[in-house]
Amino acid sequence: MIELLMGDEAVALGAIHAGIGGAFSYPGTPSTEIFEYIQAHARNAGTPVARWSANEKVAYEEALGMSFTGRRALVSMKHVGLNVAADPFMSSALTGANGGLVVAVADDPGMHSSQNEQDSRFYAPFAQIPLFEPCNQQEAYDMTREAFDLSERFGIPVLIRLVTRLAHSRANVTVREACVPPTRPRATDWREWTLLPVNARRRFGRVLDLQQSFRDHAGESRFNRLTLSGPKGIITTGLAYNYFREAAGADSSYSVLKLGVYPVPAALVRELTGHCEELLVIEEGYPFVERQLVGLLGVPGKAIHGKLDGALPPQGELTTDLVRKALGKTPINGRAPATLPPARPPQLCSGCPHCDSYRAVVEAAGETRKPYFFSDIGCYTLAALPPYNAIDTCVDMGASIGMAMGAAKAGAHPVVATIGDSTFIHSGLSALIVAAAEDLNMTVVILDNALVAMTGGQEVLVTGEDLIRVIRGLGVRDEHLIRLRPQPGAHERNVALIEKEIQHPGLSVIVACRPCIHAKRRATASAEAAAAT
Amino acid sequence: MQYNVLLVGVGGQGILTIAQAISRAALRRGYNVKQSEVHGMSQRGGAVQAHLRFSDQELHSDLIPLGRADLLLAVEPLEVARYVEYLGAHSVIVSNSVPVVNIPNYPPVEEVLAEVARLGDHILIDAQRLARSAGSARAENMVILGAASLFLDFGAKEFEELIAEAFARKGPRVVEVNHRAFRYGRHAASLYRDALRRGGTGQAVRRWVESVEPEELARLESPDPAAIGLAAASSELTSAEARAIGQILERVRDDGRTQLFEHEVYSIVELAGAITPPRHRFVEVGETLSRDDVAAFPGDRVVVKIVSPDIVHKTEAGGVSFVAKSADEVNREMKRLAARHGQDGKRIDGTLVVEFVEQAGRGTGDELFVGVRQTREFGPVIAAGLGGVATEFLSSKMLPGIGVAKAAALDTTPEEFFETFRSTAAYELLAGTVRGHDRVVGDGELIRCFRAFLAIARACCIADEEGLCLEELEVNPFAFRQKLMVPLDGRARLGQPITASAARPIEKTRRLLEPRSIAVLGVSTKRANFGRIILNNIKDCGFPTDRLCVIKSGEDTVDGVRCIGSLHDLAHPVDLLVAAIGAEHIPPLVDELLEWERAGRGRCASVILIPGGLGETSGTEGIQERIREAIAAHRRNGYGGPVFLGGNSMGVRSRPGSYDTFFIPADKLDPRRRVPPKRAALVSQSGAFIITRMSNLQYLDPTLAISIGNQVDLTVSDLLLAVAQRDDVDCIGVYIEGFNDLDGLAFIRAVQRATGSGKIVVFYKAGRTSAGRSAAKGHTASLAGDYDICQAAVAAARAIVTDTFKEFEQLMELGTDLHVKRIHGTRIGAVSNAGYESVGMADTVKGVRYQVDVPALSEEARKRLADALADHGLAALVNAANPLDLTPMADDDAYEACIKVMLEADELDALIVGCVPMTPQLLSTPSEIDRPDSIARRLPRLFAESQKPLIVVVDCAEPYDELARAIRSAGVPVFRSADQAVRSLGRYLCHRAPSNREPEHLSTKKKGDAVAEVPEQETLPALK
Repeated sequence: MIELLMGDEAVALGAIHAGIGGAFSYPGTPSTEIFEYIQAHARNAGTPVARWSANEKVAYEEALGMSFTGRRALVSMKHVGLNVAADPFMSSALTGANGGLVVAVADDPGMHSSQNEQDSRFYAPFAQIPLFEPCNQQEAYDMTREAFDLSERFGIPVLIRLVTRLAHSRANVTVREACVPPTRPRATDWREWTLLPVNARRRFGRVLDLQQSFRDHAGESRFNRLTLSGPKGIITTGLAYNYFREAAGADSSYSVLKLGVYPVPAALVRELTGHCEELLVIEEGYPFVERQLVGLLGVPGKAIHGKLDGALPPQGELTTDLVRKALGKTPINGRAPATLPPARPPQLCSGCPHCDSYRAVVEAAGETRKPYFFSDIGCYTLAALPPYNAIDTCVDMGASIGMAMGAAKAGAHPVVATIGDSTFIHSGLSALIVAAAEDLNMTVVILDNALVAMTGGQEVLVTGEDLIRVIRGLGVRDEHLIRLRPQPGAHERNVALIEKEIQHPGLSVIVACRPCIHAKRRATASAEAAAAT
Repeated sequence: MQYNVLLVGVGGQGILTIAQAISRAALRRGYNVKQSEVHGMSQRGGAVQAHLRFSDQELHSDLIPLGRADLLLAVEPLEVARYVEYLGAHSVIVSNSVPVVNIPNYPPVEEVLAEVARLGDHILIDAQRLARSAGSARAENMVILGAASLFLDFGAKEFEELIAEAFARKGPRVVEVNHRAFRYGRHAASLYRDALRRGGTGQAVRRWVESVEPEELARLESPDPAAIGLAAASSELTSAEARAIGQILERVRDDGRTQLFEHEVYSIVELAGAITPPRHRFVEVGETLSRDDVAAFPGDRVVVKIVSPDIVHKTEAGGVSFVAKSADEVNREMKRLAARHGQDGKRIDGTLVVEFVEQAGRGTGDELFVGVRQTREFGPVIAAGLGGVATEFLSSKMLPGIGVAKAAALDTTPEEFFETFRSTAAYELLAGTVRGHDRVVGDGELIRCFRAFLAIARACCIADEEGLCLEELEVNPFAFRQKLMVPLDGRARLGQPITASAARPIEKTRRLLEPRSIAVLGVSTKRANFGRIILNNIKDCGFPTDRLCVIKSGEDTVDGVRCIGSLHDLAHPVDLLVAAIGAEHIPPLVDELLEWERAGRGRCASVILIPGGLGETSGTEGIQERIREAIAAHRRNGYGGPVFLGGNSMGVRSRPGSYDTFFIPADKLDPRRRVPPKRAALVSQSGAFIITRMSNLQYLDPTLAISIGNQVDLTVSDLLLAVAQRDDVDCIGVYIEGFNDLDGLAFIRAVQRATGSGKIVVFYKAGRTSAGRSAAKGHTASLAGDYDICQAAVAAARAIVTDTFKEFEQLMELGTDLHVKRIHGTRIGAVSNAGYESVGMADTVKGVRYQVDVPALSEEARKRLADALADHGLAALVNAANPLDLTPMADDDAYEACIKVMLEADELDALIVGCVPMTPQLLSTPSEIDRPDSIARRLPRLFAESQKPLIVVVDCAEPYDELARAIRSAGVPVFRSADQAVRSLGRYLCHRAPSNREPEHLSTKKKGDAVAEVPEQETLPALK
């Protein structure tokens, strides 16, 4: 059967067809649709699906736990999410997987919606586990299914790396019958999963022992293909292969090694380098393969081109046109634009509660006092732009509270941290415990819009009264735990409230609570639909 | 096959939804698909794009390479500019024209749209308006998808299915809204594309499409290009086009002008379709053109023309210059022209810079004039003919129909008008059938042009709701380039709207023509006044006196007819009231009759208003207008009768109605009441015209003679229609001096009705002074004056238009007497005993509006004729040939024998017999003609025995009037000169011959079956 699937969806469907017992994730562009697809489709396939997890680390641990029981589990996240989950991820290479455990990570070269463009492929040799890098939606589906088999075959977690352009691109995918994986018992040997140093040393040795098997697997995989032809050699990985094919067109004079499964199959690379005088390495992301190839010294007698020597730009996404240029082909020019139109950056929706929150915060903090505005990751990060100019920092999930603490300890005033409800649950809780315990002179504004808005409106775990209870439970004192409703009519009152709390020489937490306008619209629409049926 | 679609817009506009719809459609068709999107941060308010590719081969990159987008689909126009590099040489842009202005430095929208248009093949659609009309402002994306679907290889149906799937969970209303939006977009894009292909400029086309009502778009059921072509082929403007033109007219009016500027005329003809003006640019006073502006004109010269409402004839006024295509020279010339003409105190609006058009031909007839104008009688009319400055001169030197083709716009189709135009000298020159000329324009292009002008005439030469009306619009000349028409100058003028009066309840004309009861008002007991004469004439006609009465108080009877004190005292309403009272009593009478009617106590069904002095003489116009207005107000309020005939009318002489109101004493004009009437009718604006015709055609004895007078109510069209519906009339003679407002148009329809049912209508129009040519007027009025149009339109409706009273009479006679004859063709046989007549007949076989043959006889007929001649001892003297010169030696018997042979010859369709009666061989003197073997007795017998028309010529004076009268009284048409006989018979035969349509250039229409559809209750068409 042929379906039109996004790369994310192809991974999700591959996982469903591989018979997963569950999927785990925290929303993050461009990986979000993997979990969403499973949410929407897995119930039909009989797979129990959890809600979104609190963060990627929790999601990873849940997946690992499911693997422990013998069931297959998929955990998906964006590239920076893997940083959050890096702790269990790195160690899970040692515990290994019982039921198949596949980590799907979506990178964002070009930083369409991310704070960096780190290449997650580096995590695979870091943890010393196998890696798949699909070049298209079909491979995304096929590789995901194979990854589960491989994970169980070697008892090891397997990483799948997508990039935005694949994750969010649709194409026809031929899908196969779903499989029912062999039933596996729970992991029984405590020495395998309990990483006391004594066990961990043995488990690490096992990982090292497996490396050759991984290399052999990569060398034989159908996803790694070597085609020898003329003296110009090409190594492409994942999506970059498409750009190469598109740019090369009917020119079949290149000798090509197309990579999709890692570790880098050294034998295939040697065969290619032996055949060619000159090599161009084309890969989306960092020069991951290229760096391994050249090492410190390069390959004697061979010219190797790629991102390291500037044949391809080291930053941003590849395109067919860039690859054409790297191949030395004459560029195809479109029309020359007369003048580029003014940029149109994304912006907060009109009527967004964040607009009211930030107007109040900025006014309360007072321009003259040169306030310190620490913020976080979410739609509200757009308040960094005019007319708000209400954000000085945005680094990683939850960083606002931690950084505010540091600033408060340095004696800065006023210090305001703004953080969304979901981001707060993701990574703000532990920092706030400390701030409360020390009653630091800072103000935390939690923007509770009852939705993970930026990634497309996923549900949050805790909002409203529940969120207040959580905050109170962290040790925040009731008299400085303030709720307000960010809306134009309440502006004066909100400014007064926030200003009062900023003046308070200790920790204040203000919860600005008003649902995202899209959540509201969606709720109305579903209520209408319910009424209509 | 590979097709790349780049979809762009602003986050939140639903780009991904339409990308998916296209992808799914492609997938269904079995294509490989790649569709790349941007999610996440950029979802709201930021620039977003989706790359969509499909191919029957393997696709590699998810992204479209630069220069390789086949279609750029933009839900926001500014975003187009961001992706220009993706466009290749053949890319198409489909964009919303409505901006999302969410950044402070958004450029002026018109600039953004102009930039999109500049990029080439494009469609700009106001998706917001269409989405709202479809039911949701959020459906803009569907509108754009619909527009883009024109360029995608999938059917509208496939898309609609996919839309239904995509929105199924949101309920049927949402699906319907999106379907509608899709259709609006698709159809609007069709119109846009079609209009561009027809040569519209981007901005004009956009404005035009933006003014099309969505409902109208929805009605365009099949938006494939062929169907659009047909839709555009309608000779009606769409309401949107009409509105767009209306807006131009409004601007002119608001500018305090009546004259339109040349570029405004261009805009109108362009909007109406099919005509591409040369590149032109109106430059206001003080403005200059940039180097680029000037460079954009093709060629190496441009024309600079002064634009001023005070200068109509620009060339004569020195307001036109030809300059080299350089910005400096153009700007200098514009300044010079404005300064020069501004000196005279003229209002100068600016200058028009026009592309210099290299013409295909450069000689007489290589230019064409086409114009439309409003006429009071016939509504809008169209005219086309030789163009250029000599157009009036040339036309005035040519026979009617040769110089200029003209027609009533509401009564012709583009194709019919083209047929008319084909008969003009202009067409022969343009089509290259004349030596030294090549064809410079295609017929299709001409038809398209006529279609556009007809559409303009129908939409704009009649007042709209705003009371705006084009009095005249013309392009003179059109030049030709690559067989396409290019207007080189145009003018138009606003005018006063004309409206028709309310329809008359003409079913009551039956009561007028055949009343069951009559009351006469204005009978004098003391003297033989008009009323008294009328009363006696009615009595003498045999009208039953018990149904006749005189309205008069103080008397019991007048001439044996009972008197009734007043109209109030009538026991029952009468069918006809004859008002033979003084003009001053008419207005109160009309008021009174109408009041009774309103009170539900109508006194009569019809009224004849006899007196004059109701408007035709100076100082009395007011009275007539008052009566007219009283009747019109009555009608407007929904009341019917009575119908009024007159005033200044002699009334009606009705044989079937057994009455006669003609106040002519019997000793002045023999009413011949004992002779059965002939199947003829006369309808005339002048009573005197009727009685003189009746006097001249002593034996005509019409069934009906109606004097319509001043038409305060019943018009000539009403009465013609009433007569046309009768089955006791074959031939109708109509004499008219002037029509009521727009009644000419109704008259054409009535003529069609009559001729369609086989009747002959013989028409004479008086008042042919050519329209004065004032400086403000264009060519159309002088080339297609009211008289010309009347002639052309009435002829087109298949009436026989006559130019002289004599011709009128002769054709009345032929029309009546020959109606029973079978007409197979136009081959005439001629017999005479005078050589000059035979020769003269052969000489007149071709003339204005007719052409006949005088064919040679077949061998058989020649032999039979030779035998007959031999029998009468004429073999040595007479050649057995056609025309047959019998010589003065032929006697009555020889005449008869030869006529018989000629009548029996298959190769002849009609026969003219001339006899110069002075020969001793013929029995022709008054004392001889009563003998049964006289030629006077033989000819009626021969006439009756043959199914072929036979007419007689008696070309001599008084002593032989008896001979002529004897023949004519037997129902055989008699002419008093041979050439007139051939001419009139020729016209008659041409008119009736089945295969041989009248070769005259005026009458080319075949109404045929359409006539049968004329409704019984003929009223004017609804005029906007």
